[in-house]
Amino acid sequence: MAVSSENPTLELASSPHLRDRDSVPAIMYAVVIALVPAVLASVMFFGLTALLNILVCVATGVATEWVFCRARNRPSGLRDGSTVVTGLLLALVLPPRIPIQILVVGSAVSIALGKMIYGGLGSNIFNPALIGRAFLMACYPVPLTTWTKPTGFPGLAAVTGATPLGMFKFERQLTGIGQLFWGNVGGSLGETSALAILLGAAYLFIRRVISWHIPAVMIGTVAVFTGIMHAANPGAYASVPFHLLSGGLLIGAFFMATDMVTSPTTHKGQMVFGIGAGLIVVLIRLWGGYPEGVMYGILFMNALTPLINRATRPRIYGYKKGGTPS
Amino acid sequence: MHLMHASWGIHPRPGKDTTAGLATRRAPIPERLVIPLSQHTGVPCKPLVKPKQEVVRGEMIGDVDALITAPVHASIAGTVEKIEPRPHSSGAFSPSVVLTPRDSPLPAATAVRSIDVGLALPPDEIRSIARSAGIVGMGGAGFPTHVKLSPPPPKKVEVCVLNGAECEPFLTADHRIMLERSAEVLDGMRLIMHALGAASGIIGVEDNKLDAAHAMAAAVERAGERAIRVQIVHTRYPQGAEKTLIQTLTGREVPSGGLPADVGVLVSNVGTAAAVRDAVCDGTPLIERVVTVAGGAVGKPANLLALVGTPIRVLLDECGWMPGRTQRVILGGPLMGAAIHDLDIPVTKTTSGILALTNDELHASAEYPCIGCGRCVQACPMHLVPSTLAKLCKLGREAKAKDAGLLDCFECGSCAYGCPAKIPLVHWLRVGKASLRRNKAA
Ligand code: SF4
Ligand code: SF4
Repeated sequence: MAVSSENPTLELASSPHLRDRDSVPAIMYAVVIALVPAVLASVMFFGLTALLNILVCVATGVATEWVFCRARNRPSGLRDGSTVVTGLLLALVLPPRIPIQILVVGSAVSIALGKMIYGGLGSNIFNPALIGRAFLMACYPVPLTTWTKPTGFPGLAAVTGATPLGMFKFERQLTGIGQLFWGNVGGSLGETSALAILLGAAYLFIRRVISWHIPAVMIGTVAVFTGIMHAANPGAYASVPFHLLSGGLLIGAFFMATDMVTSPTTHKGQMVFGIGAGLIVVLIRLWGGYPEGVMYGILFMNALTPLINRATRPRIYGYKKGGTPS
Repeated sequence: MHLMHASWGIHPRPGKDTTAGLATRRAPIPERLVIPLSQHTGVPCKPLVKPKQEVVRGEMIGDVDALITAPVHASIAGTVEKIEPRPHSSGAFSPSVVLTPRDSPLPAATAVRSIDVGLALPPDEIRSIARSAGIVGMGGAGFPTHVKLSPPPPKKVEVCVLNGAECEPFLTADHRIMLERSAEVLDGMRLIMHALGAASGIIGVEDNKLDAAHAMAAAVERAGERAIRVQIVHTRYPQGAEKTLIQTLTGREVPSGGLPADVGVLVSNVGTAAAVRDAVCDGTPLIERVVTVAGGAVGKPANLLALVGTPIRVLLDECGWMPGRTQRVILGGPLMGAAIHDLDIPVTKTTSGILALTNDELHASAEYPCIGCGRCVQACPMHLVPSTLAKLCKLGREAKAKDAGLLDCFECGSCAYGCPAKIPLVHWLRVGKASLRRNKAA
């Protein structure tokens, strides 16, 4: 018989004893990494102010969260990384040459009214960055719609100041698909380069942070309806590639609509969310007063998310169709 | 052929490579065995022996006159030292027979009847052999097999499922049994089908052990058994849970709160089937079993054939475990097994594995708020919404959780495994179930 070994202190804990390595901060920093191409593109097209804008938004967000946690005597929630994501996204969906004080207000509102008053990460209903942007849109409509030409990149010819969607809506002027793909067009700091956003989205997809359900269905919905209208009247309605590559659709669909906290939990619910958000984008872009509707589309579906979650609750194993135990 | 892929489950790192290729060997015989009088679901046994009494290997030492129970036997010849409460894998103390083995080699099994004679026995006879051999489900639940073999009429089992999925990480005991004892496993399954009058049998094996699937298919072929087929299923956890395996193999769903017999199915673990065959053909009761000893703190992982009653410590020592590196010792698999604090706890009929895990393997991490990622929802094989259930249970609203399916959770741990917020979801669900039980009792 073997010699009896020592008796170490053994930990008692309830099962499961294995955990996946992925964690909330790991997910948040994966989103940050996925935004690196968009950040690089913004510096390329709009110069170093891009970095300044980002820094201001992130720093203000972090400070706001810190103040809230101190005031409530709660441990700081900063370690989860979500505030960095919100600050970064806010900077990327605002115009490049926006006064610093407006950035500060927007970022503070994102964190304070978008997240902290609900109780912090996980409890908010709306995407915090979009709450900040919607607030600024209401308070400072002019700076929020003042676009500048991309100037930072010396090799590419700069184009007009308005956004492609605005130019089409108000001046019936089309922007080339190639330009939209590379991103040397007017627009929010980080939304202009389709390529940069798609690169980041691919990373999130491979890293399994996002699933295809929301972005594919949302973009697909926009494609189907703008396609129908374009086919019916090509003179009045822009083509599908133009709609997909311009404005905030890609950054919105891949980085904001997919925000886990504010989107449905089931795949079925996520597809409902994608259809709804896509439809609102189409309605506003084609017939609304604004050139762009991604922000409203996502915020509106954020509000419906609790409802969608309830309506798409899966049928429990061993239950009848109606949801009663069989 | 793969069957339809419904969406649930997780894919943890299998950790099976270290032991899957190692032939089972006999564990050392300890200086003292501790045989609990309760190793099953149901009424605990009463001792049939007294201190100082000499017993022979296989002698019945505990039984009770009850419907749902299973007798226990001496796993080796020796002297009863005492009968007293001893630490048990359940966490509590349980009355146990302490046995000092006599210094004699283990006798070889002697055949009492061939499988053909066994298959000609009346079904009642097989049930009564299973009972007196103390056979229980060896996959973990420990439900007495003879009770499962007599579904209350009018329920009728048509399909017998042999569970060779072994989906828990690290465990390879069933894998080895299917490789090393394919004929005996198959014969056990045929005896079970005969006892039930079941028309067909399906052997479900995960596609990470195709060698076992082939071994079982070859055994079916050799026996010329037409009613039984081998079905390869996707490797994912918890594929081997009774309800999920039934759904995967037959497309049927066990009704909420019901039993597999309600949909005409019985699921048996491969080890249990072999035990039925050993009882019928060799007259051997269930007194030993294959145990996987593995984990990061085990130097020489192995599959050991251990006598029921062998202290866990003896098996860990045999496999070169490193106490200094051990954070938790787990009986069973890492997802559903129980952590133990006392290494004198013995191997019982249901001990499928002993894992010594390092701190690194446990991935302990800080808890964050739920971010609604839905990973728990996508993982749950019962299609529950674990995040919501856990929230309700935490708030003391378990009645509401019950309406949302709390009692359909079988604590597989898939939800908590994948939760990036590291919320102890299963813990909260257990808390909720416990207060439901308390409220019912009050
Ligand atoms: S809720 Fe229960 S059944 Fe569902 S995954 Fe979690 S532990 Fe498993
Ligand atoms: S896996 Fe965890 S964080 Fe994700 S929804 Fe479930 S409980 Fe929330």
